[in-house]
Order: sequence, then C-alpha cells, then structure tokens
Amino acid sequence: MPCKQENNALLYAYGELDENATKTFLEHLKTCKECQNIVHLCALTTASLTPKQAPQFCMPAKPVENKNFKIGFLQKFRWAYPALVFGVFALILGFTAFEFATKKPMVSTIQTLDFNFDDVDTDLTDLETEITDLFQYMQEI
Amino acid sequence: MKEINEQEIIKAVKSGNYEAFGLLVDKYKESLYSFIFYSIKNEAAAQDIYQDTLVKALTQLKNYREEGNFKAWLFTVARNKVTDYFRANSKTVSLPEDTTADIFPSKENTEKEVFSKISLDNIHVKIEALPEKDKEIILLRQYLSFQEIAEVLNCPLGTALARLNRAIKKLQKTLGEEYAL
Repeated sequence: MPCKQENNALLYAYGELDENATKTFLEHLKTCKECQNIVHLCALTTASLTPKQAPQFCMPAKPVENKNFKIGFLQKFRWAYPALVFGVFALILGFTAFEFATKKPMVSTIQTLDFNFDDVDTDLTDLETEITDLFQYMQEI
Repeated sequence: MKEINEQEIIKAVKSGNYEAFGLLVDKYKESLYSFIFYSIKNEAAAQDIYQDTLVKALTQLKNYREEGNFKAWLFTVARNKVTDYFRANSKTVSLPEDTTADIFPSKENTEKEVFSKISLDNIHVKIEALPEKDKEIILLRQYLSFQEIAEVLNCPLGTALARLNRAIKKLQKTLGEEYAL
C-alpha cells in the first residue's frame, strides 16, 4: 500500500512544499520509510545530474524566416487534412444520396406528328420541264 | 521585477532587437544545455541541438504568448528538438559517452569521495537505462518547477507529480536496496 503523502515527498524534495505543509510533512517523514526513500533518491538524482557548461551560442546574422511559404503553410494546417478528406467524402456521399432520393421515375411519352402533306407547297413544274429537256437531249444524242 | 525584465527583453527581441536575445540565452543556457545533454548523451549532437533550439526559439519568438512562461516554452522547443533527434536516429544506436572516465581517483581524493562518485555515477547509469518518458520527467524536474513541467508536457500538475513518482519508483527498483535508507 503506497503512502498517501508521496506527492508531498516529491514537492518537499524539490523545495515546492509550502511552509505549513512542510511542518506537517516533516513529522510524517520521521516515521515513513517510503517517503524517506523518495526524498533520498530525489536528492541523489539531483546530485548525479551535475550541470553542464553550455557552449557559446552563435547568433545567426539575421533570423532565418520560413522562406518556403507553401511548405510552411501546408505544415501549419496539416491537422486539417483528415478533416478535409472526410469532408469531401461526406459531400460526395451526400450528393449521391440526394440524387437517389430526389430522382423521379422515368415516364415514357409518345409524340405524335401533326403533319398534313396537303399543306406542303409542292411546285415541281420547273423540275418536270428540266427532266423532259434532259430526256430529249439524250434521245438526240 | 525579474519577470518584467524578461518580458521587456522578449518585447525588444520581437520588435527587432535580436541582440537582446543573448540576455535570455544567458539566463537559461546552463539548464537548457544540461537538459539536452542528459537527454541524448552525445556531446556533439547536444551542442547542435542546443544551437538549433535557440535559433528556433529566436525565429519563433513571434508566436510566443507574452502571458506564458518563457522558460517552459523554451524547454518545450528543446524537448521537440530532442524528440526529432531520436526520431531521426531511431535506427542508429549511439553509445553513451564513457561515464566512468572521471571516476578514477586523483591523489587528493579520499576513498569516501571516490565511492560517493561511483555511487552517483551508478545512479546516473540507472537513470539512463530508464524508459524514455521516465528519464525525461526526472531530467525536466532538475531544471523546471512542477508547474512548468505541466506546461511543457501539456498535462495537469497532478499528472506531472504522478509521472515523477512512478519514475522514482522504477529507479528505486533498479537500484535495489543498496540506495534505500
């Protein structure tokens, strides 16, 4: 069964426990082996990770801007790609469903021609004379 | 007062005074570099990542919200860079630098000091051997407060505490009874 004061042990080990809670916790710490081990181990980890001297930072002459706007833009909104694909897919699906839902059954219609040949003006007299002339010419030959 | 100064420096950098960025670097350089170094255990790569982190922080400072915690933001940039490094080098295994090189005693060292150093190095090796997430939280706690860790990891404070507690427990288990009180 872990001790309920373990979080306080961590806060105490790193100096983040407030004054009142520290007083109470120190009383608890005297008798709790688990909390003692946590505090001890936190101190050991801090001691083992000695700070390293940082190298000189070379300041760039001018801050490098993201020149490739297109790539930068695409990367910035990469979270939207799945939503976009889903949206397009839903749109196609919705449109198809709408088409099916609203499509009316096909009705066949018979169209009748209302046409009277008597009304057509067929003046073929010129054509008759031309044909007659043509026959005469052929006979002469 | 300290906070106001930091925000003033950030404003100055944002308005084009890039030289002022050096003041921010001076404030956090040691903790930032130590975090990167212990995260990847490769000095050359750590130096490159440190440089890249600061250049990125400088170029991305315009995206930094002034009401936020700059240190936590800077460590978030560093953490992302470290993650990128591990992702890029996932197929190559880099051997950690020799941690036992400096434990051999000089004449002045007493036997007690040597044993103490060996013990600390042993702890260091065991931290290295922990799963990446456990190692990360232990390292972060050396340089950031719990509130800042919660910001970097984008989780509640209680979760940060629970994660560290779990990591410490695992470390305790690997170290065995030798280090228990």
